[in-house]
Amino acid sequence: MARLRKKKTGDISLDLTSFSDIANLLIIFFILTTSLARPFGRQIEMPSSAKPEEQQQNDSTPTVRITGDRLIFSTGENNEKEISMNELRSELWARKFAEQPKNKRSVVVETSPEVSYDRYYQVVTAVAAAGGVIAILEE
Amino acid sequence: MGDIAFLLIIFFMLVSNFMKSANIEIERPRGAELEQQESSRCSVVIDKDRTLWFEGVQSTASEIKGVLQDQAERDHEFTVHVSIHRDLQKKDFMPLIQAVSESGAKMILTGEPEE
Repeated sequence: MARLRKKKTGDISLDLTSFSDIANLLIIFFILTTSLARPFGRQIEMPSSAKPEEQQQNDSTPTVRITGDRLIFSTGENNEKEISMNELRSELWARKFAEQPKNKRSVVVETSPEVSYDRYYQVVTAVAAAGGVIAILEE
Repeated sequence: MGDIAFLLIIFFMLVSNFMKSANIEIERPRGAELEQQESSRCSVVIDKDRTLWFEGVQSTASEIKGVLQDQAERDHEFTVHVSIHRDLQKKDFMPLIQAVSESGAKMILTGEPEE
């Protein structure tokens, strides 16, 4: 009788070192391909100093004066009025800047020293959204 | 061992890139007519302490203007994202806005949409 040989049960073990490499590579892959949160904002057009002839300003150029908590809108010497943000947006959209040539889209924004950036931001983004080009009045 | 060393190097390179702006404290202003923008290649921040940061490094308005001018000359579509703390006053933010506009680069003022 042939001797029965016991089957040797070998060690069944998996080599797991490559799994940690794959896990790290996958993490790096997803870090690189994940699209990051896109910020909110508005592109602001301002005449650059290189092209001063781009914008024409005259007495009827809309002017927004920001002082403290007041907004004053004017289109000439004797034509100024205090308005709210919503009224300012209506005035700007009524001018249809998008249909005007670039040299007639100026809106002058004057800011008092005590005005916060938050207030200034609301006005310039409203002007930019209506298609206006912001001209800063230098003191 | 070699694999893990390279993986750790790559990991820390990526994390340090993302952490560049982690220590900058800023509260953005709110606006009504904002659009979602593409992630920026270039960002300028003025934080609540009036410190000016250019790509995570402290800088000045004149230095930023010079760098942006070079970039804008090479790429006419070059865009810079400008983030300014909402409570700053005109003397703090206006020099930066003027510097960026004079450089010729396209400027996007970032903010939070109004609820």
